[in-house]
Amino acid sequence: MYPHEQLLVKKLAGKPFAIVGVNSDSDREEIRKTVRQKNLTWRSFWNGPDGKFGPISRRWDIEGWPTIYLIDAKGIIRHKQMGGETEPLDREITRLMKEMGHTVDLSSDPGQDPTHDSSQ
Amino acid sequence: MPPFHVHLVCFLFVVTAISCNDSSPQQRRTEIDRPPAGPSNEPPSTTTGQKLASVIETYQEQTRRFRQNQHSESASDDKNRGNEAETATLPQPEIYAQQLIDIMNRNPKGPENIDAVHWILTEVNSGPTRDATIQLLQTDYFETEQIANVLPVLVDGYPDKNSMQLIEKLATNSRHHRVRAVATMARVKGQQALTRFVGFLENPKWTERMKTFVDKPTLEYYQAAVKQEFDMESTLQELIDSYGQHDFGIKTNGRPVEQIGPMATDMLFSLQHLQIGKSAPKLEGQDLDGLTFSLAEYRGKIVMLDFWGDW
Repeated sequence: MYPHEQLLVKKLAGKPFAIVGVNSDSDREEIRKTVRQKNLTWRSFWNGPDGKFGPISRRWDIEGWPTIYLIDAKGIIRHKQMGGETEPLDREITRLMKEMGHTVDLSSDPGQDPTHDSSQ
Repeated sequence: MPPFHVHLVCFLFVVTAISCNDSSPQQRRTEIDRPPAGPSNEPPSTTTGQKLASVIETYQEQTRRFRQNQHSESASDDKNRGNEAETATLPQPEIYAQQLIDIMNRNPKGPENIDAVHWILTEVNSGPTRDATIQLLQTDYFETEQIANVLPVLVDGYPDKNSMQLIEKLATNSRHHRVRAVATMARVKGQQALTRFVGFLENPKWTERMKTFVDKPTLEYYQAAVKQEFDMESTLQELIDSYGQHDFGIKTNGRPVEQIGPMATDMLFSLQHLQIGKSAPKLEGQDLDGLTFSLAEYRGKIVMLDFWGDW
């Protein structure tokens, strides 16, 4: 998933877009290292030492990882998906951008299988 | 066998479950070989509980040994791997499940059996030993309070028709408050799982994959069950009001016990607030460096709220 997130950050630079993470690793020090090593630039809440059973993922009814919510500029939930499939995600971001008057092209490179990018 | 929570996670990742080798039903479904000779040399004074525990320990020991072999093989010369890998096979939980069932049948309704039932339902996803175990629950434990301990495992993954019917009956008919509580929550979880399943099934991209996860009767049952009227919201409210103090199941490896009240509260919250078109709930907390921030700071931007983990 990271490459796609990094791609979105890059392609949507200067646009009203932000990735906000909720990290569900139980070891905060380890994940801080990973964030530095992989240069993950977006800010993340931490779900606490209980990892996947932490309070934020409970409240937000997370049944699998990754799960992504898209929230529009007014704070309304507009899209929700379980899994890192990039096609519906990109489509919805493009649609929300258009509502705000921004035309963006997020089409992935042809031939690239979006389901395989989670293994880094 | 990976620890229990790994199965849980594999299931939770419905979309990515395909890459989760250990728990897909078709991989676990192997033909049931004749069980190895039972522990016949045990002293006659051994109790049923000890016999059952010893079968489970043997399985765990065999699994450990297999993992160790596998580990040392992959560390050693790659050229030798092929032959050796064939000689050591992963112990099949079904074989041990059958041994457990044989022991339990000699001691019907024994209260110590329920741990073994829990083990079978956790380790065996489908097939005759699982069916026999569910049948055993129905005939020997329907009236007991202990049955509440194993109901959560029945809906962990994609529940079959027999499990769901047993749960529905218990939710209405059990004379134990705790059993009705756990069964009602299990009913909710089962209903959610099968609704989610049918949702994926209807996505052409996943249809064929999803069909490999359950057998045909289960599939047909799901398609009928999603059309049945089920008032999720008032059932959750009932769980909060009347059954909240009970635990949902028993503590197992790596998985804390949850209390029905908070569980139902979260589920109801989701139903009422986490749907498309609703205002995103407030979210405040610490970032990975320990600094406090909030989702509200991003108002005016499109936010991709990404629940992620590096595993």
